[in-house]
Amino acid sequence: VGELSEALVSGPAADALRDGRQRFNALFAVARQAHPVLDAGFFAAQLARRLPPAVEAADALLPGSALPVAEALFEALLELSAAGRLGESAAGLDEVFDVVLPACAGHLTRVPRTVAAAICNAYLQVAAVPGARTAQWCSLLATAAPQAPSIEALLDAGLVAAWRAGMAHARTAALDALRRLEPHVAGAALGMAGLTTEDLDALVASRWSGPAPAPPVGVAAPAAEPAGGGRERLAVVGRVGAFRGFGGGFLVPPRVLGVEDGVFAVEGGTGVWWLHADRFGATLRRGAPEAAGGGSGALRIGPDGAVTVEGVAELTLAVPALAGATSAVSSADTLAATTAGSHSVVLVALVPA
Amino acid sequence: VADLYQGPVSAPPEPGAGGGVALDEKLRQAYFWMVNNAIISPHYDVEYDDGPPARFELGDSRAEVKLASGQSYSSFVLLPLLNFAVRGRCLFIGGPGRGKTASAVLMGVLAGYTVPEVRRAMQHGHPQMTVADLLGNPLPADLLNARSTADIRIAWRAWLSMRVRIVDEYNRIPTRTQSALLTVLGDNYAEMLDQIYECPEAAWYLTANDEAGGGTYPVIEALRDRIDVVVQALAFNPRFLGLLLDRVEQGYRAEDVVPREIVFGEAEMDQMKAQVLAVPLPTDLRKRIGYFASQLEFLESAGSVLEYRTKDTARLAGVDVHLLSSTESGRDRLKDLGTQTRNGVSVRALMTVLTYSKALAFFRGAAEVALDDVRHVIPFVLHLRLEPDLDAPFFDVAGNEPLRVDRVGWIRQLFELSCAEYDQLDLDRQDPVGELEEELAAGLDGLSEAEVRERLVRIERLLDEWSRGRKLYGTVYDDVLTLKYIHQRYTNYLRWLTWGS
Repeated sequence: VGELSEALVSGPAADALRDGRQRFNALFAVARQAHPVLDAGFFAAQLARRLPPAVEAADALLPGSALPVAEALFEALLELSAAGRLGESAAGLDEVFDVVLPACAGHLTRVPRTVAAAICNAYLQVAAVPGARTAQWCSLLATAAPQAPSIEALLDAGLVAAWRAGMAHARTAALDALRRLEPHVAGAALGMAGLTTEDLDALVASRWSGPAPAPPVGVAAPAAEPAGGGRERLAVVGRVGAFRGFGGGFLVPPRVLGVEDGVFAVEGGTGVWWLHADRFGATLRRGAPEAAGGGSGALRIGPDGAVTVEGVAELTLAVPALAGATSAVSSADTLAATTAGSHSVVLVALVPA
Repeated sequence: VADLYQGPVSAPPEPGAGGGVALDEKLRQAYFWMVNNAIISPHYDVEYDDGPPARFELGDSRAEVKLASGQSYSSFVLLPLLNFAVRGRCLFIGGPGRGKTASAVLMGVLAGYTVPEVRRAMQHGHPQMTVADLLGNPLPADLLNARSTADIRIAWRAWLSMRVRIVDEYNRIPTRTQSALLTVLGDNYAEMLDQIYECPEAAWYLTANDEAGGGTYPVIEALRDRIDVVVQALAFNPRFLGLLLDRVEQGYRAEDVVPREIVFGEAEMDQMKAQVLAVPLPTDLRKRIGYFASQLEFLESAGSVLEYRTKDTARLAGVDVHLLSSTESGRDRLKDLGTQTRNGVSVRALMTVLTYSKALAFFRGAAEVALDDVRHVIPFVLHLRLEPDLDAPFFDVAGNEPLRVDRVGWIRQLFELSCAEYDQLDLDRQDPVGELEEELAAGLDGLSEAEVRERLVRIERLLDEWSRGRKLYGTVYDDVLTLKYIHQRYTNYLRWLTWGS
């Protein structure tokens, strides 16, 4: 393998492959004993394609670090290959190896294995979440990584970027991470240059505040006009979930069972799911069967689909699609409602004006 | 945060980072990785039982086959690992091509060095090896310009600073160079032209094709005595040729793929040794080891003064121990285990037994040292140190002939016989000398004259009782010396008491 890929690359990566050829070939041989499907030619091509950017960046930063960095990336690629994650569907990993890992060069020179494994695993986690935006995660992390002073800060930045890229269920942990990060790193990971304490407080206070979101993928927001002219307005912020036959999680039109700490419990013939939603995205995660609890929020829905806020007469929003809703539960700022004719949960929220 | 970073790519700890795994667990992981991936050694000769094992006897010699009922280990892998844990000195013996050097290289890799580093640092013994080859060279410029030897700087060899040191075929090194090696191995420093290099603590691995000290040059006794454990590379079992074939076909060496998870950093090695030494060794077990050692040193006819009746006295006088011991009469020469050896067990050897027993208990994750730990360690520690008297009647007994050759089997049996006698005498419960020792250990402060006199009388009565018919075996001899010591301590105390009044 070492020999094959050496022929395809040049510079520090080729030198590293040559210097570590014996170990690389031995690692591949051992891996192939456990995974006979590993193909030397394919793997060599993967090495030649993915190894050079990060190795060259690390070597430019710290001459002599090419071999340990190449070794860490080699082992990560070998495990990805053994797990069948380097096939044709792994085009997204290009960005990880071309952009993110080179941006993490400083960290790679210090703790190569930890960084290589963390970045690859995190990318796969983000990519596995329907609607999460891997390109955005890569871009945010690539900006934040060179500014992160430590590996801990890098991991925190990765989490914040994952939340920003649509992993709504990471909100609480990401907010904790934001507090640990230095402001410029936090701002870079969040895509909010010049992040202030007030911005952070606003993010904590409301799920629907923050920088302008990218259109939530998988949360197809219907074109509904915002209602209300004050500091807050009502808006349809998402439509979450789908029929299992179309790749979703529900067998039957779902019902909202309750809400806890802003997270809705939903059931759609396949057990209970937690619906996490905020300004950056919405995700459904498997929940416990006992997960439930009534909502006590101020948002209400009428039989005609009109959403109102209790005690604030001027805030109303007509959502005809929600006429005859079969279930509706409100948190402090969000209403989750379902209808008999849809496998999605519609979210209406009080968003900053 | 951690959830986001879980996935198919494992993140083993960076070299030396520890990774939160307990060190005994890490040592076990290293052992099992080695037996599963690196060293083909299907010899489970360090046996532990959780219940009655199945036993069979085969062949004309009634060779016993015992299927151990507990987790058992291969000494060829285990002992070097224990040596790694306590940073001792391990000698691999066995014919050429049996994996001695490869095992030593693996130990270097376990300490975090790369294979090329380990190979470059390995010292290969040869008949022309000089002290400079071993330790380093004076800088040529300093040799020309220096006004005194103190001005001559030495370019010390890199291997001296490593935490694993390997000397291949140490019995081919010339005698003078062996002496230089002895200083490094025994005292951890190197000396040349008045310059001293203090070496860090390290685990040593030496290899030799001939265990008996043969080779190009005889190994000096002091060097042999400093070797803590001797491990024999056993014969390859051709049933495992398939595994060998896989390796030939795949074209890789195990030392190239040592997982990071089982690599120990410098701090971890320090911690591990401290943890090993902290494993408690029960008092009963200590007494049992002492009872075993007591049997071996005594030689009644070697002196007229009580304290000098030892094999060491005879050895220093250049007299054959066997000849002297055969002049003795009155004792059962079969029952007397001391007749089987030409020497006793040194203090250094006893310290090594205690240390490696603790290491084995640590490796097994045991709360304290067990009898089996001592039983398994003793043969490997005493392998080079205990010299059998092959003319002793014990070896002429039917069935004992193979023990003339099988050093491990002989020492193991010696210890078994000693333990059997210890149990027969019920020394765990009936040990008057032990009781007197405990009383003395409790301290003399505030002890009244009457109490001291009462204890002195008890000692004298005990000796009086023994003098009426009890044979003088090695164990009795050491007990007598102990009683004499205790008696002297009380006598001195009594003298101080009466002088004060």
